Amino acid sequence: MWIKYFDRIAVRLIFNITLVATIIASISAYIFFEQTYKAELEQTRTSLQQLVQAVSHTAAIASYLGDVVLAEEVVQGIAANDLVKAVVLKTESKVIASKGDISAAKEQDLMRFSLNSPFVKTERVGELMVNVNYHLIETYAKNAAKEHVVLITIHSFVLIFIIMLLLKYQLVDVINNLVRKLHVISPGSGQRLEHSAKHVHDEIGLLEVDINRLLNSVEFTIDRERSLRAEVEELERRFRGIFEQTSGGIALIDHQGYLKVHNPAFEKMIGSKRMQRLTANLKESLFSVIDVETLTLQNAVSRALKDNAPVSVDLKIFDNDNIDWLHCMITKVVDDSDVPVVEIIIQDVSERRNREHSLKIQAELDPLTGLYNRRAGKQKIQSLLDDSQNLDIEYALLMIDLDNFKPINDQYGHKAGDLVLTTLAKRFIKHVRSNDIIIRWGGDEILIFIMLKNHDLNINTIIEKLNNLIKQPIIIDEAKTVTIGASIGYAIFPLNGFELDLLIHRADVAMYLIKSDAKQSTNISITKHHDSHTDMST
Amino acid sequence: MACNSGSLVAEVVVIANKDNLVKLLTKKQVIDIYMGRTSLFPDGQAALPIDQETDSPIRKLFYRSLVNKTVNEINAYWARLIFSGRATPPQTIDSAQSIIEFIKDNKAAIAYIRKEELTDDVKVVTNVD
Repeated sequence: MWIKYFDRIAVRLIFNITLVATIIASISAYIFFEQTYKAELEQTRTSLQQLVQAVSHTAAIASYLGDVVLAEEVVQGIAANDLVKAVVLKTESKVIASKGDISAAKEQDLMRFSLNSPFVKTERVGELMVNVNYHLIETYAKNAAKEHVVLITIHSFVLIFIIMLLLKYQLVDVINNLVRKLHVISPGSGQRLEHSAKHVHDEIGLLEVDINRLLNSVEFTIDRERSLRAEVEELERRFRGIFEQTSGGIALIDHQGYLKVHNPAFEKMIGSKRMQRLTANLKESLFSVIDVETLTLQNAVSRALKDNAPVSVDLKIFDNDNIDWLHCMITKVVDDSDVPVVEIIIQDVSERRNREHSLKIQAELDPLTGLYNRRAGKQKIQSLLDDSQNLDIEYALLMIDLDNFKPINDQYGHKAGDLVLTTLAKRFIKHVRSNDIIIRWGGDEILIFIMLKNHDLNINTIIEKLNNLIKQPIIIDEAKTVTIGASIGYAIFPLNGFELDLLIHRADVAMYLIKSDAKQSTNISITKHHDSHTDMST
Repeated sequence: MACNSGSLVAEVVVIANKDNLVKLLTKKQVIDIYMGRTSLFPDGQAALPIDQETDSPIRKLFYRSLVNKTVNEINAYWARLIFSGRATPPQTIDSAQSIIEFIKDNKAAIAYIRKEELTDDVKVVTNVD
């Protein structure tokens, strides 16, 4: 079976009973031996004495009469006993009969009987001496005692055997049977112990009843737990479904930003590369994978933990070349554990953000050329000027007016005019630096605001470059190409003024001067106009 | 003692031949002669004890007085000694007259009779009481 041999009750019981019985049997055997030995010794001595006593009357007569024949008879009678080594019968004066050699006998081995006259009790007539074989007596006594001990031992072992049999059949087998029956019953299977008819009224019967009662209650508990678990599982399944399928990204992070749980939407929004870093063996914190927004998120999380109120922030993250905007709702989660946990619900708001952005761009740019419109451009310049008040920076404000633009419009139509404008705009954008500002100032007027870095850029060179850009042929369609000229006036900040409007005015004036000068073919402006004619080649 | 009751009824005397040199015998000497321990008088003469008839009251009285035993016990005593031959029981003679006659003729003889049956033909050596 499944219990180690010596751990079985039956084996231990048998062992213990045998041990105790052996000890008791040994002790009692010892005591019995001693007692039997003494009793046997005493018994033998007494019966020997009685034997002598029985013949002492005859012995007395023999010694009274000095009757040798009678004395012989008495002595032979006594000596016939094998416990007697030697016998002597004597009168007061002489030995009248003897058997064996009594002279070698020790005094303590002698039994002496005084013989009195059968007729006058007070008259001593002789003595009977018996040399007892005490060694033999002891041997007999020992043998008797040994026999006794053997009997006791046999008796003890028979008793032990019977007790063991009874224990086996009435207790151990019954318990084993019960154990075997109980062992194969698994709780919740509906199996019960069969009641054994023999034990209905005893402890085993009671035990069976109680075990079945216990099994009932266990089964009831198991059933209840099963149904509860099923409910919980169903609930969990539903919640998991919501969690998995919701469009909002949901994640639990600890106060240090380490990810505990997240749903697929979260993974999708945060991006697979970031997800790898968050879930790799050497986990990274959410704080460290969101580019420039680390501090924003960290602050938001600590605020949420501190205030116990939801905190929302918008995070800008870069996904390749795109910018994704994530709206995060951060809430502290009440948890049993000591580590504070926050829930982050994110929504991708890139689309809205991008729409807002494009609306803003639309509001700022000239729809045809993509250059800044007048209002937005002025604001940009103004903000640059505001930042440059105390710096040793020079800006050039150039006002460009296209010559003969109107005739092109009139001759080739608006589309051609538009094309001229867009082509030029593209050329300008391509050739100016990114922080220079280009504004479509009017119909055919363009304003360029350029930083002159510590005078290393010559304004005349700039104007020359611009003129070169402008006079490059512009393809209207496959058949037509136009060449256009422009008048460019300029003003220098801070040389010609600090105020934007003043600078614009001065540049404007300069431009008009050039224009009129060009028309009069004079050359008196600050800026030279090299090429003002319109080439209308086909 | 039984002798006391005996003395009320009768007194037993031990008698011998008038010529016997023995004047007086002790009780022990009488016992030894009658129980066969000795066949001689103290002076060395042979002694021949005579018994009364087996069932006679005088015999009964004599042994009761002498050794405090019944006649049966005395008979058993002698029966035990039959085969050893060392001692023999006293010779029996029927009546007091016959006994007195026998003693008159026999110098070694010794006997017992009632005191009232005593004659001058014999002499008393012991009063048994």
